[in-house]
Amino acid sequence: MHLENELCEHIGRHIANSSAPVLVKGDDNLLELVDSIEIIRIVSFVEKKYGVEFADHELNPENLGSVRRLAELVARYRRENP
Amino acid sequence: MNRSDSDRSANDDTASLLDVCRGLGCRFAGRAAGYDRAGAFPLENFADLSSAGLLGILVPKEHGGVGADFLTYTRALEQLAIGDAATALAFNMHNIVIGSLTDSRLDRLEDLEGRRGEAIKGFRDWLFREVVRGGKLFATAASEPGVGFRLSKIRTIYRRVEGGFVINGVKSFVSMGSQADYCIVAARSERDFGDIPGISYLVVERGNPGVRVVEDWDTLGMRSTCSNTLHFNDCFVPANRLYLLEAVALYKCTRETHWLVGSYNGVYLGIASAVFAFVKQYLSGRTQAGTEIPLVDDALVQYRVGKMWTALEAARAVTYEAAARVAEAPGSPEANVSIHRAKYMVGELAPWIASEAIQLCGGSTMFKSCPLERYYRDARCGGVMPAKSEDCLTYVGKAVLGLDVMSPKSSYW
Repeated sequence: MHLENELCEHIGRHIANSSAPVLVKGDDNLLELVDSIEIIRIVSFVEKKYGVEFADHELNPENLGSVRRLAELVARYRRENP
Repeated sequence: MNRSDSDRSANDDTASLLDVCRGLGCRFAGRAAGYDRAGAFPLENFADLSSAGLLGILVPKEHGGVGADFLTYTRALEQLAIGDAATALAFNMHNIVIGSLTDSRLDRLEDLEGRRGEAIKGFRDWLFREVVRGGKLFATAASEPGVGFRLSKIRTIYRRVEGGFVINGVKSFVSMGSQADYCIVAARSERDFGDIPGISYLVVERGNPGVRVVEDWDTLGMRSTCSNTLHFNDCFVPANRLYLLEAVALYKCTRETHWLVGSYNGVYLGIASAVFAFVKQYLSGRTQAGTEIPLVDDALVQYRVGKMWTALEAARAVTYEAAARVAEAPGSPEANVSIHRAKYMVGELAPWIASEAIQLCGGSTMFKSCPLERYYRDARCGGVMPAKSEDCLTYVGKAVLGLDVMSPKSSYW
């Protein structure tokens, strides 16, 4: 939950074309919220902050469909690569 | 440079670009009938576009391109289409690929580090370099036989393999399918991603042994776009030729709908402009049958010309307004609604004004030797290109009623 909240806050602060922070919730669909370049930026941020590197095939709607799913992906990678 | 200097400089750049396009349009006009009759690809026109540096019209200046925004691009396309709509339409298919990338704020990539940053910047730099320095052409393959342009229903499938992807399927209406150096192919992942099919764009290079072209393009209008059918048979695509992210194309075309829906609005506006210019020239100096009375003195002629001009100017205003909204905030709900409204208006205007012009100017304009005959046929294609007129109005209606138009689940795609 902590990870999910952190991601929501980061994404809400950095959404392009928005001068003010946007309220982002865990089940918001990232793919409907921001464009592909922004998604790549978010993924890059997540990889750097949490010390993980996702395989390319993981970057699809299954894992990017919501902030919660992205947080779950991070948690899985950290579990599998402690 | 202060704001007003910057604005003035941008205005000068736009005026120069439009002058160049106007000049090219005049040159294209002289060749249009020949290419149309033969159904041949306008190689000379594309050589001219390349020489003028226009293959990179949408590539940002810092990458060596012209850096036109969506409004400037729409106006440029209009000028080219006044000369030859088919050339302008094929040219647009090349630009869709680049535009989909450039109206994301690419400067946001500069500070990205590591493998992820290098990969996306590498793809972007490769694409821009191929266009600007290499003079390469890109085509778009999305539609399919029996499916049309509805991406969620496409049957061309890909699977992941070691080092890349393999595509199998058939694509129709692929403008420049034989001539382009690269073709962006929309294909469905063999994996099930739930409610929203996982559609990806993959870049296939010309000469790939897995591609076979069937030259079946013999149509009413837009004949020299050479929009043939392409068969993909175990067509291998390297992993680094995935266009941005995997399986998100439906989200992208729903959210950033302007490239697929309204990028060729300028083409059909250009045809309508050419029709109107033809009518004015035709009427000038002609007299009413068996008299010395100028045709333009006839009140019915005046009425019809007034009706045509008013419709043309209204469509132009709506098209430019939509393009300006896209340039300002691509992918915003307001821009998306405006672009659908404009697509509907120009898609309906062009065939209507061409038909009116034939009615007004008479039987001599139906001969192949008359450009109006070609305008009429080319114009008819607008309303059936995606999004069709019916889809445009439904989209606008849903938005006006406050219904969701931004989710792939509610999209006509």
